[in-house]
Amino acid sequence: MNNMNLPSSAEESSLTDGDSSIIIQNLLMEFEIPGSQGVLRVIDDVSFRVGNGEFVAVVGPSGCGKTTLLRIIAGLLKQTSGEVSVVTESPHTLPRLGFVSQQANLYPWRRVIDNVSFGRELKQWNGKWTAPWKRKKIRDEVMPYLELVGLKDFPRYFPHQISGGMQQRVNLARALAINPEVLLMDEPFGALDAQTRENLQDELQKIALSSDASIIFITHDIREAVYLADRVIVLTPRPGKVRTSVRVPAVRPRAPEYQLTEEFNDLVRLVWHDVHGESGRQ
Amino acid sequence: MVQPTKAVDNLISMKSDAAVEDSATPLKKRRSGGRRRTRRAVLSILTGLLLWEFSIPIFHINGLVLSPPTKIFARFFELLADGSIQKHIFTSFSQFALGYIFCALTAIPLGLAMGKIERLRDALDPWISALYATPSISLAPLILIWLGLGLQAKAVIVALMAFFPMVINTVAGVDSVTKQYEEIALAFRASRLEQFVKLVFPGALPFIFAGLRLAVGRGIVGVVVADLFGATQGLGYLLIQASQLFNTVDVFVVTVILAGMGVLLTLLLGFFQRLLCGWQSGT
Ligand SMILES: Nc1ncnc2c1ncn2[C@@H]1O[C@H](COP(=O)(O)OP(=O)(O)OP(=O)(O)O)[C@@H](O)[C@H]1O
Ligand SMILES: [Mg+2]
Repeated sequence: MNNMNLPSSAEESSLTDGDSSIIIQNLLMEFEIPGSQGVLRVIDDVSFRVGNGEFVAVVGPSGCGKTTLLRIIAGLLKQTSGEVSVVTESPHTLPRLGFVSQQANLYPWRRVIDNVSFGRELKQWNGKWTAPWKRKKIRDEVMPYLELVGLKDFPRYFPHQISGGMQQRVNLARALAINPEVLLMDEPFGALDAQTRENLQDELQKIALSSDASIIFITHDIREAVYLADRVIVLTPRPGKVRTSVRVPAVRPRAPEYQLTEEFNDLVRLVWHDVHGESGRQ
Repeated sequence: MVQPTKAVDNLISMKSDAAVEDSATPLKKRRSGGRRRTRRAVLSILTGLLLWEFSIPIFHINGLVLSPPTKIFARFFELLADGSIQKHIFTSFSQFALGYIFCALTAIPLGLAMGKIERLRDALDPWISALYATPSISLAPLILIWLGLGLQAKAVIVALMAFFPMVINTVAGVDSVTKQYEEIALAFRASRLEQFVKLVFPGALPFIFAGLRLAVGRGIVGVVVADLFGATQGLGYLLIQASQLFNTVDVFVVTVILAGMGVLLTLLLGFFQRLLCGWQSGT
């Protein structure tokens, strides 16, 4: 079992640049501490790669810098030092990047359907400027994504008229609607009930395979990480470092029954020990 | 810093209104709640008018001091019938409209620009804070000297009065579109123009409307007070004439017309706000 728990560097070197879609090298992030001169190191020398079409889950304790990591990859935050690159097949255009934030952050002035349309309306993904009165076509195009997250009856609602879990699902649909090549997800299912979560996990598996998107999926839930991902990266408490990177060998998509297998439970136990800092046993 | 007190006050009241209105009350209840509110408003006004009407004979109030509502309305229709008041209403209204529209067309873009461009905001903030606190109406006599007693001068005075609530609220509106919303747009690679059209403007719109509403009142004050410093026509002119002749009824008639103008314009703005910011009331 231990041989699956490779030190990250050994595993990374087996990937060549051509296969990777997200490359993170020696990433360091420090924030000013509010009201003082000092800095808080949040991410400390993190390096890993995400291969084309790979599904990588990141787990780690609260406050270890997971959201920060994702925001840096999305280009929303400038790192203190280190390299981050997101490469896709066509290197001259920007990668189609879907971002699912930890809080839904829907636009309150847009109806549910128009929130899902948001990315599609942009010139970047649509190729042209769309006049507000010509949105109908886009609405029709994104409707399947709303159905996918189980909200086909709610297109005309405003965000404040739907529940928190529904808002989070709209957030997911909004990211999927631009048909992303790279999908960055920050605890997307954290606010959902078990039933909805299972449905969406299975939908996500299908989408991941059919779109061949490279995915970074942040979660608190070790079982979810092992169930969904090709690889689980465990971060240490702040400042976040890569503690281990655990490969999950089963082919995707995985049936829910996979969660009952010996292999699954062994892996969950392994990751659990890593999360809880008992890596000395190597 | 620009003081967005007015804006904040307004937002809070608007938000809480909205919250009361749709906090999961069933549709039927809410409708009848709206009707109940209208009924109470009408009842309250009627009671006020009745008290006003009957207090005059009961307390033997001199007609020079207070006119009863019936007399005011009768006089209003008399003035309408003989056609002498229309030109004053028209004069004042066109002065107001010109100044107000001109003001909106400059103040709102300026507020949006100040909200987005930090340098501009830093440069203009001290001016706006200082000028907002000064009673700009005290410049009215000067403006009349520069521009004469006609349409131009009056419109400028209206614009001056309406300017600050519009700018300050627009800036506060831009500020209300917080970082988190911006981050989503950035993650989706929205261009600056798209951020502006799809984020900043719709997000700021409720505040812009709050500013427009506050500006109606100030603009109407502007148009009347400007007349007091010199005019040949207009409701303010009528007001001075009437007060110099101790014609109490006419003073009240003018006041009621001005109040009516304010109410109508505010209702009109409310209508457009509901049309454009439907998300606030959840309709
Ligand atoms: N803009 C900021 N300024 C200062 N400190 C920040 C900023 N953003 C994040 N931090 C700090 O970085 C640390 C990591 O935050 P981050 O949001 O990345 O944690 P996280 O791993 O996503 O936690 P959680 O699992 O609770 O979401 C925290 O200690 C936080 O205070
Ligand atoms: Mg987080």
